Amino acid sequence: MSSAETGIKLYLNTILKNKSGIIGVAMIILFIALSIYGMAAYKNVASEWNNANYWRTYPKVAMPAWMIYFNPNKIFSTKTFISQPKTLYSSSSYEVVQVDYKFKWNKGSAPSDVVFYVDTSSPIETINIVWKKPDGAQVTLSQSSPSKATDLLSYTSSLDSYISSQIGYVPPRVVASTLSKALFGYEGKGLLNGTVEKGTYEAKITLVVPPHTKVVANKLYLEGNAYGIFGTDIYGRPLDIGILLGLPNALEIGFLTSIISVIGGVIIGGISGYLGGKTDSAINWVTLVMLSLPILPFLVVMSYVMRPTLLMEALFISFLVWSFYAIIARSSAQSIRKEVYVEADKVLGIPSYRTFFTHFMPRLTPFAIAYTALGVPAGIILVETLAFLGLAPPGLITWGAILNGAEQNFAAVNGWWWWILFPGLMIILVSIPFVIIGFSIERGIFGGR
Amino acid sequence: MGYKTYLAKQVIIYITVLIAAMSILYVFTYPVIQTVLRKTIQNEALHFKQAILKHASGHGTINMTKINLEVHRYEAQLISSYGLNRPIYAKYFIQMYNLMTFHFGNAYYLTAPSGSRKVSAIIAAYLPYTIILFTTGTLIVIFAGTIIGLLSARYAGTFWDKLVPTIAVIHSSLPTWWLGFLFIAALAYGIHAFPPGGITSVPPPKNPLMYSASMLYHMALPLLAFTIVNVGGFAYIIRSLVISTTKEDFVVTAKARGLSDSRILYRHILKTASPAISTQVALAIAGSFAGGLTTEIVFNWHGLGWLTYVAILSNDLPVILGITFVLTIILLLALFIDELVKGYLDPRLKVGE
Repeated sequence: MSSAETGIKLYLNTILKNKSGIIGVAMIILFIALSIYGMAAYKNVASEWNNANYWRTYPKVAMPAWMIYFNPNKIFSTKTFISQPKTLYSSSSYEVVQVDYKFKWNKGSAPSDVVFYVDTSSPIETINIVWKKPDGAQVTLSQSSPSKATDLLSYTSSLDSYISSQIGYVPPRVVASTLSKALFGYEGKGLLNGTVEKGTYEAKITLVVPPHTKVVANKLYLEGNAYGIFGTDIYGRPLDIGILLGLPNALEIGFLTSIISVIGGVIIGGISGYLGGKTDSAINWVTLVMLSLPILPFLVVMSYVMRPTLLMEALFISFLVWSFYAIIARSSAQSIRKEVYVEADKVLGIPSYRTFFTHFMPRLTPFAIAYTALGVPAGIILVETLAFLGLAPPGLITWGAILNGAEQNFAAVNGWWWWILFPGLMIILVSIPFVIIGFSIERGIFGGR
Repeated sequence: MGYKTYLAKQVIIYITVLIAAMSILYVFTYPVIQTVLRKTIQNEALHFKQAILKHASGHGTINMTKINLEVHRYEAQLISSYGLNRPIYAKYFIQMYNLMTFHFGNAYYLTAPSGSRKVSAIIAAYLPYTIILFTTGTLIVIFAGTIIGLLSARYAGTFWDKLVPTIAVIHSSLPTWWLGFLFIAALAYGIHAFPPGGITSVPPPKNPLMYSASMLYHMALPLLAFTIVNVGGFAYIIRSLVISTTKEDFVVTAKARGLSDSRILYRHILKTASPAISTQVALAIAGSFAGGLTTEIVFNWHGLGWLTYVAILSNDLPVILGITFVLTIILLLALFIDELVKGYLDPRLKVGE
């Protein structure tokens, strides 16, 4: 057993002596720490990830917040305002509550959206908003039985008629930012041309609610176009949280696939090379069969048909890739078999399983470590690719699924570069330390240069 | 053992491997295949009924009971031809035979450009585009990878030697589809240097010369992404093959004979390493078809990968299954051809050793 220990120690030493090896180990430790932090800090967020209502008050497709420094006049983060609600009228059948917001706007462009948030103890019957611009112009928005958070798209009908009264027609594809321009622009033909009235705005929100209703919380959100470290996606989900929550899933599946397939492959290949003869040919044939299965299409079929969980997905991938490791382990076991000490063991009558564990496994261990390291990014990339196809294990947050969202919402056409760039960069960043470590051990084994 | 014996042995091995590989896919998708076939039969029976009704309405009287009986007979005929009413072992043989002869049934929703609903026709329509894109890509990768690999193996400690491990890391950590996605955002929609996707410009040029020029222009970006990601892996393989051959005794002998470095490299080392390199080439080409699935999606390149995505989105199972079968057969074919080439290149087999 001592040879095994020195073997592992030796390879650990080669990793730690190497500058890139240390960086790799440090990066892996950082990633694990980040995953633990993410799972602990955003546990509740993970379950709400696919719940669009949860993200209602977040700015949609906002760029990263650090972009503000490049153009503070046009790029800004969300501003929120609070005001005290007043009860204007109360009777036995209904109550009228008013919330009055006053705020100054001096940015060069309109907010990307405006969200009116009112949380009441019983559901609101109607909501009526009078929006006063600095020059005195007024817009009235109304909606019956609204949800707690209403954004401008909930008032599309009121705003559309306002827009057509000013410019004579309604633009073909109305998005929240267009509606916001209407609330912040000068009245007249140029309402939507992007010029913004600067000065003090006023929004009077009148609610009709059942009697004895209390306003629990209320807020006005002027959505910015910049949020968080990595921006947000089209549902307003912050990508930094998505990327952080995708990290443990990526690492888990990477480690699982790699460990299962490498251990399986090395043991099967090792036994095959060690025993030789008919067992060897039989195992070799099985390996050939497995090698001839195209991995990605097979995974697509299996994931599509069975919609596996994360563990099942890992097992599927391992089932399809173990043969690669078996071939390598087999050829090195064959060369060990020719060594004199193996012959000596045979002559001494030592049982073959003991020879296998004392002479073969220790020499196969470095292989196993090198390929486990290299297998982690391979597993991660496979799963992210499946997720990109929309075949991720259900309920999991993955970077591939975030990128799939980007593809389906035409992020490239719309120039939402942050939605494409950062999730993909994370795939690379997570893979690199494993690849570096794997390569350095591999070079140690094969000599190389 | 002569080359012919070797050939015969390989043919037998690969036929058994093909059957085994197909059986594995069959086992995993058994319940799904049954429902797929049942749906196909129902659809076909419906088409048959409509055809009869159309025919009968032209001749005046319509006897519904007779028609229904006819349709039932047709359905029963189909069921027995797909083996759905047989015990499992008979089912297995019939359905395996159908798979091997490319009878994948009909697609639920998708159609080939010719209007056919047969899965094999749909796949045949899209497969050529996958082959064009990825064979070109792999040839570029092999060419560039071999040059870089040889340069790095020959000039130890130089720029080339350091370049290979770096690009190999890129190969193992970068998904092609993501790089393509990024390229589209930056180079196609950002600076408008390349088309954002598709096979040719719309409408396709009539002139064959213009057509191929347009196609090449559309291939540029996917090929760039594909090459950047894959060239490192191939260069790394070539480099380690050449280095491991360099340590052999006959190379030392050649050096002792005073032969020039380039002569040793091309005449001795490369010749010895060529069977191993040919394996890598075969695997690279066949593997690229399957591995390029997602690359086609981002570039809107209408090949098998794009077809897979469309089939997933529209829940068209027979198409997904058919594509997997076809890709398995292609990979096996590549492995088999490689085995033949390897046998041909191996002088020991020729002299009957």
